[in-house]
Amino acid sequence: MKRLLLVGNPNVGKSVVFSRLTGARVIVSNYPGTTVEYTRGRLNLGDESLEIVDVPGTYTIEPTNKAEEVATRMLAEGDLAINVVDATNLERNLNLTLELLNSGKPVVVALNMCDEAAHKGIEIDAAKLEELLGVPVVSTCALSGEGIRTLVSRLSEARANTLPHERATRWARVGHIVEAVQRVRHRHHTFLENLSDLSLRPWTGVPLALLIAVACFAFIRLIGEGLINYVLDPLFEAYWLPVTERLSASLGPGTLLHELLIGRLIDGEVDLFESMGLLTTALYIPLAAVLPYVVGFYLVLSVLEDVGYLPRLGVLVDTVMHRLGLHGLSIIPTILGLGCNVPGILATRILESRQQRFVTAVLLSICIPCAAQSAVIVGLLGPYGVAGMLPVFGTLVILWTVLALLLRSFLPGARPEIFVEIPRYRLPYLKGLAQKVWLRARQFLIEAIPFVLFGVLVVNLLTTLHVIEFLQNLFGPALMRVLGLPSGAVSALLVGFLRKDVAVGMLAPLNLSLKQLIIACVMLTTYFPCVASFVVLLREFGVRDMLKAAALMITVSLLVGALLNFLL
Amino acid sequence: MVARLNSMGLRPGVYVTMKSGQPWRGPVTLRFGATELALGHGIARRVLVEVKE
Repeated sequence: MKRLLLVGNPNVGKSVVFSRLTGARVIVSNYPGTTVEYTRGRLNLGDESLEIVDVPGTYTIEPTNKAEEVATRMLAEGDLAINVVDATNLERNLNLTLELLNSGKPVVVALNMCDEAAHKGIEIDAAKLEELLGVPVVSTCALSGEGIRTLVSRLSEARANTLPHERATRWARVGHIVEAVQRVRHRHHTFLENLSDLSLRPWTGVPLALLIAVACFAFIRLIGEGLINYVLDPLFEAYWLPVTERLSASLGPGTLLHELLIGRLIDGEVDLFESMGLLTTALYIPLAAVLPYVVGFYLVLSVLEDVGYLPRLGVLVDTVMHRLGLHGLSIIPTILGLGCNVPGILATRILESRQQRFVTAVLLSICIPCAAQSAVIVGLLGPYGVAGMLPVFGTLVILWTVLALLLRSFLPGARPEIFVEIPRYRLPYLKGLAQKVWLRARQFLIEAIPFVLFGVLVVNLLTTLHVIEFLQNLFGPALMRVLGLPSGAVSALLVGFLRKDVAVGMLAPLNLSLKQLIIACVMLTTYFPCVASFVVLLREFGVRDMLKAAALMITVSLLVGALLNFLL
Repeated sequence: MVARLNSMGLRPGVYVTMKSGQPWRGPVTLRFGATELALGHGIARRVLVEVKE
């Protein structure tokens, strides 16, 4: 099977072209480096089948750093290439095109974002460009799908055409081509361009960032609480609760099956949140308590991503982050981690230095609660208001800062400075946005529900087999003395290895005091990553570093728990 | 680093505008052509420019 590569500068829409060609849904955003792992797909062309590879963006195939080395190596293994070119920044993109042509690969050029170029008053004569480059050039707007069909039909015309030139004169050569094919009508600064400058200048950017943060939280709460109070809770109450109640009555409380499916009755009744059965808590927590917040979070995150705000935020926080031994762009994985730690850890790949990647990933797996966990924490501590939430989230923020400083002095190594292209602000493309939120919510459901069911099943089985009782007797006294938690918290800590949201939910029937709830929530966040994050950490950083990280997590979490128990 | 900047289009003879700078030796944002690039202070201070009236 022939291999077709999608090659281009970062953030020119390669992944959008990829989705269009293969029909596969992949996450696309408006900042460089969204595609950190290369994606493969298949395209059927008549009776021929092509393997398509979405190569991470690169400015050059004469590599100047590791990410570019990867792209260059992948290039060597391809048979032909679609060079995706950003029509709004033709000059810089053509530099790569010339390098690519010189490599001797057959190439078709996709002149992408032609709608945006037209909007900016840029006219490009594609036919002239085709003549000068000697390879097919097709105008496309991948987001709306315009031009993709032509692109596919002209793939067979891909050919190699070297334009001999010296490295030193390449830019001059590019300059001649651009001059011949591009006309730019003069125009004034647009609102979005002015907004971009404002969000980067410290005196306007910092207040704007705070405003955005507040607006995001308010919006997530609005969506989350709205969906819970007006849609999901009423639905569960009206349709699901009667089913479980009837089942409970016919099974009879106390029988093994009742314990597993329904769980324990709370005040003689089935409680969807607290009963801890496979058909009660295990379904109610992910679907009704967590999913609404997950949807709200990903809606906000996806808008921020598609608009192109995140790298600007990275620049704003870089001064502080750099002093903490991190990198401005560390903020992007950290924010993604607020949704789910797994994509957060994967996104650390946008950082160049391994040391900064590791520190960012470890800090986020210790201190950043995922949306699922936060949702349940908010559910438990919400009734106490600020007195409940501030100690939990405040402790996590302080811990994050202190650990960053500690790791900075213990882990020496190169700390490269920020170096990032600032994408233009764009209005989000609604269909793409909806697709992305759906993709992520579905991912959550697929990954969460099996783990939740499994976790609840294991705990219920261990309870009926008296294993939990044994563990509670073993660890209970120490737990009480050091952390001030009752022995009942042992099973929550056990489930926390599988799913943090259910684990936090398991605290509900324990009748904990406010202080105990705070300590337990902080402990559950910090002591160990859930199984899914653990696997990703292991895969990304190897056994040795994972062991170091695990030792750090357990120590830190015990220290913080004991400290809170002492202070509060 | 010179090669990397060059591949992005920041090369001798190009017209550059400084869009913003963060306090306390934070990163600066440069614009050249249609590209906007944020650079750490340490790299940015090594970019030599000639001021145009």
